[in-house]
Amino acid sequence: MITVVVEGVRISGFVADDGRIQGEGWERPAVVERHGGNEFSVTVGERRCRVVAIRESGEIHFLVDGWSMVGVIDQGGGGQTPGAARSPGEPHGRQEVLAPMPALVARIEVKPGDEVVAGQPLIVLEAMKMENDIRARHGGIVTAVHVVPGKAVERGELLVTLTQTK
Amino acid sequence: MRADGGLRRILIANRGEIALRIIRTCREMGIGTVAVYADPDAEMPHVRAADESVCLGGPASKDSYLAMEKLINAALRAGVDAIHPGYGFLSESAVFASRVTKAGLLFIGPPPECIAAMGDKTAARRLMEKAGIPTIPGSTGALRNLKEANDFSRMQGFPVLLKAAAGGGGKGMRVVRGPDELPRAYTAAREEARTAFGDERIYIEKYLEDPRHIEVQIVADRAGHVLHLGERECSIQRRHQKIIEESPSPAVNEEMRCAVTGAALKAAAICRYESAGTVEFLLDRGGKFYFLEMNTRLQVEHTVTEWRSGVDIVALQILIAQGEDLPLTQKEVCLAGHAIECRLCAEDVLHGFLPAAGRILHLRVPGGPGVRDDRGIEEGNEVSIHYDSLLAKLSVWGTDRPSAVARMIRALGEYEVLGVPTNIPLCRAILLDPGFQRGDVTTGFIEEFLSGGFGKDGDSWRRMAGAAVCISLENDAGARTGSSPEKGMAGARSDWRSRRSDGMRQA
Repeated sequence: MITVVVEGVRISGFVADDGRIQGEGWERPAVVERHGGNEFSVTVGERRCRVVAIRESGEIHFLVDGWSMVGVIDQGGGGQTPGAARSPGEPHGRQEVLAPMPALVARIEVKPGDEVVAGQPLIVLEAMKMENDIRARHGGIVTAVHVVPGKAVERGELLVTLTQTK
Repeated sequence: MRADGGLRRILIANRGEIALRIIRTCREMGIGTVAVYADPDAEMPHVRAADESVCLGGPASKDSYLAMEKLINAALRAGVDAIHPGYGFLSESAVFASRVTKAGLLFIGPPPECIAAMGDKTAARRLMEKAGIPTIPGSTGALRNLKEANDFSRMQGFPVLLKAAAGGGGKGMRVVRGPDELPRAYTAAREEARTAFGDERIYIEKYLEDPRHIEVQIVADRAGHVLHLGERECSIQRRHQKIIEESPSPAVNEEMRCAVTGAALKAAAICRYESAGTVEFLLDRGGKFYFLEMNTRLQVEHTVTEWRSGVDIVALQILIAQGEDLPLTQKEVCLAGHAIECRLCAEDVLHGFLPAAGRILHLRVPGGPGVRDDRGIEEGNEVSIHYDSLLAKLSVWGTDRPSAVARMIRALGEYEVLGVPTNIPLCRAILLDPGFQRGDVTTGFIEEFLSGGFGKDGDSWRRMAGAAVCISLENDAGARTGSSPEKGMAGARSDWRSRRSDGMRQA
């Protein structure tokens, strides 16, 4: 059994010439034909479609019906799914806010000691001429701001730490 | 310069699709080209397409595509006659235009005085008011403080719009719907204006609910001939960034067309315009036009006008810069059929339209009748965080609106980009929308469309199909005991966990 995580959803199965895939509460027959290169024809249940898929840095990028998505093979043991609300190893009662993309820090809207509510903007990031508010997932108190305006941050870099209020 | 006064060589002070587009016209006209590039762009197609290229350093725009000194020095060293600024970057900088001229080079665009006059949005609006062109009620000058913003809003009523005086491209713009939002919006708009344009002056105006955005392409030569190439409808926009443009506008009848193109010609004449330019208007529900601003540059969406008129607007810009008269009269302008453009961008539509950086792993583009793909990126290129997210402009022509819409849906279906999320599925969904197909669009369209749950349904089968391929690939890789043919696989096996980026999309 192989498990892949696509956009936070776990899907498992065996697929060769013939096979089945399953997720939470569902199961479907699945057939994958490879057309050489990176192109595949896939039949899941009743629906047949064309998929382009390429491995890159341990992830599998695929294109279905115009949508570009990413699948990560679960190597076992990991109970957490990508897309979950907290960063790896984040302890309970604490909220670590990470950069969702490589970007520049445009503004910082909070300082340590501030009490924030869920959805409140903490940091404004800028990339490709667009600004994006990075918001608190839960209410809490800001314990640390780890960046300064103008700093270039990588995807996944720690921006702000909050203690969670109940 | 050639003996006949024609340009010999042009430096293109831009990047991506527009640099490539300008190079193409130069080649057709027998004019040599010099491309410039910032470090991250060394492998981009525009660099290879030009006869010569010059590295500007960077990577930030201010150290490369916005570095006037570097650009002018590169132009002088390469021995060009002229600089074409494209759009964005320095295309609407009067300072740059005059420095280019002082260096003894031609600036392919309007004279610096025109850029300055239209670049100051407040002054431009006053000029138009004086000429009898209707404008939206707004502050008479830049706001001096928050109190002025409050006073104006109380008098005109909410919603109001805060706007950078030096603005463009949606930067420094804030719609404010009530008095509580005003202080934060005021500070943010000024801050954005300062960082984006080095000028924190903002002004305030009455915000029209759900108007249409209609603009008129004009061209004018030094001898004072001015003509228009019809209107474009650009109402499909998000946060003032246009996504889909078309011509003609489905909302504009002959009488309205006469009024709006007449106003645009008048606007161009008042400021003694030269080169290609665009006069933007808002059209309210009652069919009334208001002057919005004039863009003194080649517009991103000029392709739809080229489709309908058969005119090469970049070629006209070059002829005008050379001092020639327009090669056609208004009577000779023949606008035919219907054209649509989609701006294809690297952004994650389902996660707040976050711009997406990454490598293009696979690219296949549409062809066939009536399809044009203006693209500045190829398979293997990196989409970098330093510049905007536009990957390509896909445009189509059809004999009428329904056939153009059908053709665009077909072409979007053929467009394959893998490696970064794109707005291609969104564009296609909009083209398929019955409201869009009726021509029932306003600047509020996208917001309403997205609130209808776009992307939330039907994606489970796409996920399943993709997952089946992932599982099959992994199965094959396992069977070959690690000797996988896929790139990046062997090394990646051990390190993917550290790259795993849980939850960031929701941070």
